[in-house]
Amino acid sequence: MTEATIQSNHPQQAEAFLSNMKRAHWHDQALWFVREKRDKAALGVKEWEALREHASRIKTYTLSKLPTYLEQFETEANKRGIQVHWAKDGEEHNRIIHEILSKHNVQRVVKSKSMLTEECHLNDYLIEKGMDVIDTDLGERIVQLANEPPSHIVLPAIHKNRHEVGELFHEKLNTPKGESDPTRLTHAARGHLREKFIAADAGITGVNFAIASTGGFVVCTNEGNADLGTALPPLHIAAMGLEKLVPTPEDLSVFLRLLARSATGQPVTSYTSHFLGPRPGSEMHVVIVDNGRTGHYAQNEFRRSLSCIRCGACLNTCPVYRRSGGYSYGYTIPGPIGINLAPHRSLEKYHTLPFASSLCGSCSNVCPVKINLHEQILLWRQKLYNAGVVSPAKRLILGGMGKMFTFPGVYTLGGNVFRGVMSLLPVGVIAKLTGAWGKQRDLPPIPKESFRQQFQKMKGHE
Amino acid sequence: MSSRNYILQALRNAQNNAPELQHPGSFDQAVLFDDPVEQFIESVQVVAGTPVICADLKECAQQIEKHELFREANILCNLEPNWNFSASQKGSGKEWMEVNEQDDPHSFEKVDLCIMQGQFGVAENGAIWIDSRFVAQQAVLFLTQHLILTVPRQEIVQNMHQAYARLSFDSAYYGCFIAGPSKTADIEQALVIGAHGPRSLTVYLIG
Ligand code: SF4
Repeated sequence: MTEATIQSNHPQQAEAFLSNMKRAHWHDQALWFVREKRDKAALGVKEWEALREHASRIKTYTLSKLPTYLEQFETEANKRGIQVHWAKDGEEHNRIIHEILSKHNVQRVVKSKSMLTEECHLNDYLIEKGMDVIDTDLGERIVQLANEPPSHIVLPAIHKNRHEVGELFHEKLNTPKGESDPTRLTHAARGHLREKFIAADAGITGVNFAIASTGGFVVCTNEGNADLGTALPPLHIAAMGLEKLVPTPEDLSVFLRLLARSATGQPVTSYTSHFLGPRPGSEMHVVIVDNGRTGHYAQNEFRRSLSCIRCGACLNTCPVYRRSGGYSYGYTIPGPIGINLAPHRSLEKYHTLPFASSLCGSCSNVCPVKINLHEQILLWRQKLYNAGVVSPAKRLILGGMGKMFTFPGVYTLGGNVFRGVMSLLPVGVIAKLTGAWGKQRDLPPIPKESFRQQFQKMKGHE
Repeated sequence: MSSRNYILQALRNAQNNAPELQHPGSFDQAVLFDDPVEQFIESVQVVAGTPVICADLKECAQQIEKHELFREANILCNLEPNWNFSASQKGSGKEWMEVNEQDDPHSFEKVDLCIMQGQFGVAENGAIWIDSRFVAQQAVLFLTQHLILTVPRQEIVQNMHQAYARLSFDSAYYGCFIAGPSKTADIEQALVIGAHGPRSLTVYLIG
């Protein structure tokens, strides 16, 4: 399945996901578990909020000087013997990588996780050209063996339970029938992938952070697959979105304190690998990719979402993502950040996504770089409304509610009416209004007073 | 126009005389630990490593030689510059590989145990810095079944800010913060140690 073949229709896909309630509930719980780990890790750092603020400011500043920093990165990388390439779109990115690989007569490629190469469909491209491309992150290998895309940006196989992985490994890797123990399954994959690492002619990685002042880039993994995949073969190619820059190593310290804690609740990933130049006797290439990012960059009110460090926290916390699954979005990157990135590619195609949100704001609250995710989602709704892209049916269903969630002023005012109406409506109707994901659980009892009203009253009592 | 110039031009056009922003500077609000060494030991455990405390290098070497992992290992690599295990272990049937003499990283495929000196440790997360100045082929650190890192007690910094203040990437082509063994939780969020790299990390804190 590729992006092109998935029809992006969130309510419909979410409904399919929710047709198996037990499974949907399990998915919800699994992600909530990760969210709780994140909370614990964040609480463990007393200066957490100041750190988020600092990270946000570094990113905003860096974006404001992006072309200058990109040039600086290129100059410094070149000095280190890293070859830098530029790709306007996914097509060019794939072509450049294929050319480098062909020049080295590469047959077997090992890849570590990169959402960018997913976005560009690099695997399909290289496989079509006759190369053997193996994803080496365990979660990515699982979905690759199942011929599926990742359903989460950090936990690619979060939608699969151990029995399904066991079945898959039995079929593809010859593990014993019925084996579902995560440790034994992981170690079976270890053996299988080690052969691939040893045999690889080239390694491809993503880039978590590129450092402008020194050249070089950082990749974070827990498994060590980016390191194994690049330490053995004589060729390393890294695919990098043009927004991945930080000015200096000092800035890196801020993001590395936030990333793993936000992603999985770990204080840091097992390996924070700094690729600073080619090993003697090997080559290192970086492909800097636009693929719609310059267009996104030009839209000031949406620029902040280019600060994303792909931690996945906004997915884990999102009530809609947890209850509709990664595939329901029909875009490489799901969840609140996906909702904000997809429409830059096509507002038409992804027009249902801005409605896949309760606007509860939890995403913005957990985001380590303080992207105003839910406010941007609201902006997209306004854009859709103004552009008349919302389907007639959707307009009808949304009715007053669409307007309410589209225009913030009406939101406050409408809340009063909303509470009255929602408590009168049967659950089924509420589900229709809120999209299929509302079906899984009844909404919590609608309070008679809004939070704002309660707060005012409490203040009055003081 | 080349893609490079197209991209840079598109970004420059989009900047449209926006007001100059300032870099926020160094982060100076980090809360420090009273006892960073104690915190480091705790953090190593949080990231699934095993900390061991030793009075000095001599005691450390003795402890390692008694360690089960060491006794059971057949092929070993030593990157701890202060020791010459191979001399004391002559005739033990163990094979010692000289890491920095191997040109082909694949030659480390069968290594059971690798011992290396880390440059410094980070209290807040248990990470230990190593770089290519001390290991020419980083592959050995990931191919080895088990890894031992030594860190002098006085080389523990508080946090990542202090860590980067110590680093210059001048003469290295590779560097890594290693925090615990290789691990994954990609199957139902169950933590499994030993994904692709070392199945264990033992950290000897010396001094
Ligand atoms: S938008 Fe923020 S929370 Fe979501 S993945 Fe990006 S950095 Fe993480």
